[in-house]
Amino acid sequence: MGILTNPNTDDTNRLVKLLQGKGGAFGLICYLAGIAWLIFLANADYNLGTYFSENALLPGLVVENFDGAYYAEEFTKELFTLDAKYDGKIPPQEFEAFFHRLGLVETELQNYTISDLISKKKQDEGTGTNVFAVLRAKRAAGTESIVFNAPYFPKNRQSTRRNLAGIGIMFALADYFRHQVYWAKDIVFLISEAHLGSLAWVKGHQEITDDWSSSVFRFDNVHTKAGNIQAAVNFIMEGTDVCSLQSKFHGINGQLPNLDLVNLLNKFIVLDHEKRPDWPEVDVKKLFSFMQMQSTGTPSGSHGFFLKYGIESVTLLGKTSKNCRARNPVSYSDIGRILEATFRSLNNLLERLHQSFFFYLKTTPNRFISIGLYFPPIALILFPIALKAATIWLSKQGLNTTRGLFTLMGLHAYAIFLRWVLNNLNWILLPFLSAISPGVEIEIKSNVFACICGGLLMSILTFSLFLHWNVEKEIREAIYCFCLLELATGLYCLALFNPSLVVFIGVIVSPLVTFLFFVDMPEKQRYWAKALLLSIFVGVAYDWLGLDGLIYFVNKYYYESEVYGNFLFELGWIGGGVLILGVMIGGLI
Amino acid sequence: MMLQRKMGKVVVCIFVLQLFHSCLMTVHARDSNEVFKESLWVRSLPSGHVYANMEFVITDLISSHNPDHSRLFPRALLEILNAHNVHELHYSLTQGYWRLQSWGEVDSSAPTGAQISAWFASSNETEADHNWKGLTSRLSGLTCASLNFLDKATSVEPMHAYRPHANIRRVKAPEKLFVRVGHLPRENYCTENLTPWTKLLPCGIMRGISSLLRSKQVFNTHYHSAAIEFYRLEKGVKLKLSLALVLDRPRNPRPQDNFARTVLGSLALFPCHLAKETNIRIWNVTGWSLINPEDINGLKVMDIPTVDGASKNLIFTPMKYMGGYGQEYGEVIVEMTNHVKDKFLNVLYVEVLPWYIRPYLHTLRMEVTHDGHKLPVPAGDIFHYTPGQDRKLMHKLELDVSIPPKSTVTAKFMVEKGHLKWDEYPPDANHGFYLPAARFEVNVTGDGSSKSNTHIYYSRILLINLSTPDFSMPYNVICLTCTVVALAFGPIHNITTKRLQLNVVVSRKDALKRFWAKLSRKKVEDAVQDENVQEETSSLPTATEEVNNSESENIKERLRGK
Repeated sequence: MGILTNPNTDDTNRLVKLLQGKGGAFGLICYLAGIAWLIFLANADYNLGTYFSENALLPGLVVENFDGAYYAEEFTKELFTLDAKYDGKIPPQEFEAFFHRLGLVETELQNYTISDLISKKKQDEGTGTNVFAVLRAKRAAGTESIVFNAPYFPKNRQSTRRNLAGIGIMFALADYFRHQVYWAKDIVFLISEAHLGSLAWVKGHQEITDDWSSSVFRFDNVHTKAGNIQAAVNFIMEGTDVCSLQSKFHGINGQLPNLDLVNLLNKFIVLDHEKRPDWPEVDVKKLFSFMQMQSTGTPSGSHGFFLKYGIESVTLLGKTSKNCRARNPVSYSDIGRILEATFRSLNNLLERLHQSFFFYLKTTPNRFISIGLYFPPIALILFPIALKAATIWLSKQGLNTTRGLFTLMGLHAYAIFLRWVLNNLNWILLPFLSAISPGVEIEIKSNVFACICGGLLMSILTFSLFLHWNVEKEIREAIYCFCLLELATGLYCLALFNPSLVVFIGVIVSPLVTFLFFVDMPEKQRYWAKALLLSIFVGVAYDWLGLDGLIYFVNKYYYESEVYGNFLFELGWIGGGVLILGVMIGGLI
Repeated sequence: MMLQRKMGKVVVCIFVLQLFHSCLMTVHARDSNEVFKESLWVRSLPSGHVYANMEFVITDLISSHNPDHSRLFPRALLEILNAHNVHELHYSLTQGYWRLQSWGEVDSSAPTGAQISAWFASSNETEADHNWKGLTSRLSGLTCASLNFLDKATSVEPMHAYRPHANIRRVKAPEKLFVRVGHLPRENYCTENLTPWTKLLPCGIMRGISSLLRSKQVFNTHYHSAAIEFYRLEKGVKLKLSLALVLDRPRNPRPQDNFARTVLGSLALFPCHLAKETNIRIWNVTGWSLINPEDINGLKVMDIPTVDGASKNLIFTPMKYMGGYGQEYGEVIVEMTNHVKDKFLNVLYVEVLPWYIRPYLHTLRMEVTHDGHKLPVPAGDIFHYTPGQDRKLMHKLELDVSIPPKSTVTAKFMVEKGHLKWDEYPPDANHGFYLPAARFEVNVTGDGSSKSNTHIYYSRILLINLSTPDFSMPYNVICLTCTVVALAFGPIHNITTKRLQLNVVVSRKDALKRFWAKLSRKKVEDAVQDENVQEETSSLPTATEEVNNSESENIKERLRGK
């Protein structure tokens, strides 16, 4: 009795002794078991086969009749001629004319502008124009709609990579859809300029305005409204001939669409090929690549932006290869039928897609790992952190909790201040940086990077000062304990919506914070360890300056955090920095 | 001979019957002034569709008619209207939305779903509410629509909109006129609604203009709206039944294609002899041209001239939508556009929201946009708002605004999406909830004439998503788990945070013992002290031990006995 308040009772003493003696080993076992369990989930015996939860989709009842492959090819040819005529940038009015020709009169153009995040100057702005047409469903009152998005990429160098074939097929389908009577939902045919165009369209359609968007990302409002958007299907052709079809569904921050929608598209892709590939029983590699993709938090296509605003969305991607034309490419009529079947199934929906899973990992298209299956191994991987915190709490007497907590709060406040500084770089640091090295301002993007490195160095210096500051052992222990608890709580919460990221963080951090700093070090050794760590940090920071790849990496995430709201950058900055450093302060006792 | 004689008898019989019948007809006609007129308007829409509007009007000019007797007036309806003192009634059931932008100006607009508005003569509010409830329930049975869901909590009493007909009959002093309006945006139009509607017609669906109706074709239209209008005028009563259809025109009509057959899907028009007039009018580009009822059967699709897109004659277009995302807040945005070049439009905008969509009136903003420039908003005379009450009253906003020529007024306000109780969700909860259409009563001003010509428009209905519980197996599992966790939390929290302490209890039994000891003069003080120190809980194991002992003794005894 009295575990938390009275550590002197016999029971607690026994527990403490057990934890001190065997805690590390137990943690290690949990950690390894968690990893092993996760790998086992890639085996078909341990995961689940996909199925449809939403009965209203009725994918088996759809009989595809699309016969416009010839028109699709004609439209594609016409688009390529236009592409050559306008030197790779077809004006949006031409697309609009196409829609009018097909009899879709309700069309609209939407402009958007993105300015550079740091300089915010006029000359660094990028602009784009989305074109869309609405096919009104007969008998419906325009309350629901489905979006068919074929993005246009005028900036790609090769004309075949500009998705002209995709737009051509969409035109053929629009022509076909217009003459069908069964539509119960309006269909929006959208040609968004680049992926960012989709973001602009969703925001413009939902009238979403925020302070930030007015300064960096500006867009017109969409006036032709299409009711409540139930789902969005994006379609990209990597070339005129494609040899394989793929469904893409990773959204921002690891968000995933409803599994029913993914299954639906997969079902039609596989059915139409008539040669169901024998999926491997165990596919650890696929699971790993899925988790890798999810953990970055980067959307794998336009669907990510729809997902962010609560619209279920997937992308059908036609992939090409070197000698695809020789290898019997997928015909346009097959692709058209897949899309037709998808839209007709979605048209059958009575409610929004809500029945199936939103949290899952996928190995092969016909298998998935639900949240109930993958959560226990993740919990095991993170368990040593919580165990270590419990050991400290129970074994150390007279922990100075109040001062420890206040110190931790101070650390957080400091990190938030640094993030604020970073957010306002353009007027705080840029003049200063350009004053010390005039060449820096030429490359705006490397400026972002330099600023981040500067910020990082600043924080490391402050932290090292803090390290030299002679803190009592009790406070250090308290900080260590609280940092561990916070890390464990934070990671468990994060695991709810991005399990893959947590697995990767957990696999690295879990032993790092518990096992490596397990031992008490004498004063002198601690000093050297600190020096070593600092030099590693400083060295890495300088190395980063020289590495283009890492510059790209940091820039990419800075951009994504500002434009899409990918939180990986923030997470790395505030959470990772503070917690790991905090744990180090406490740990290097 | 025999045959001839028989034939002669039959002819005489028929003649006599005819005579009798005509006498009967004149007798009927004398004691009733009921007049039935039917008309059909057909015109092409700018989008290429065909618009057909059927109107059936029954008027009875006798001011004090016998409510139990009518020749043409549908008695089922009349009884309901008389029972509830209804002076004016508008009922419409509509499928689809009139697309102003592509179909042009609307003749008589109706919102998607079922709408009913009525004026009653009642002595007080309670009686009016009672009448409204009775009227909706009875009409629900008559029309097979879910009008019975319209009660006090789902209908409103407008202050400025929905004004009664100019010549409506006046009421005497203790009674006053009350208005009630209800809208069911989700109500669908099915054959079960069409059949009772056609039964109100004097000739039914077999004769008259309604014989052109085929339900298969009615439900294959882009828009159809059936309406019942009733007026109790100073002189007599007037009932108007109308049906508006937007039909498909064949893509490439051949010269021999019959209009009735290919567009309306019917065989032919059979005349209704009860009708005093049967008017069929077709729009040719300059105006309406009247054609003979017999000619409709020979009318070709080609005979209906198409109109070009420039002839939309738009005056006003409304647009209502929900901005924002997420399930907590949203923004209702209403755009009202004046298409007239040189005239102001006076618009009375009526917004009714269900109680679970709570508007934040302080966020209401109005903007006027003209050619991309922002103009100051002309202040209106009317601003009337009644806040709703949860589960009792709907939110109602009426305001009037004057729209400058060729400009758009945008009204925006934030709303909070409320939470419903779990049993208040409809069966398909994830489909979403429908918001009723906004109503716009538009007056064109500045044309010099004092005659007020009010046009009525409705916005689209909106489908919105509220936060919806997951009514499924995982939801039940979560509920169960949460309950178990909640039950387990209390004891675990108690055990871990509270300390058990020994408490010396001097019970009455001990006092008695001491007293007994004193009486029996035994020196038992030491023993009593020992007992007092013992914990109360320690008595439990001893008690159980005793039980065990006695049980084991019992068993032993039994064994011995055996």
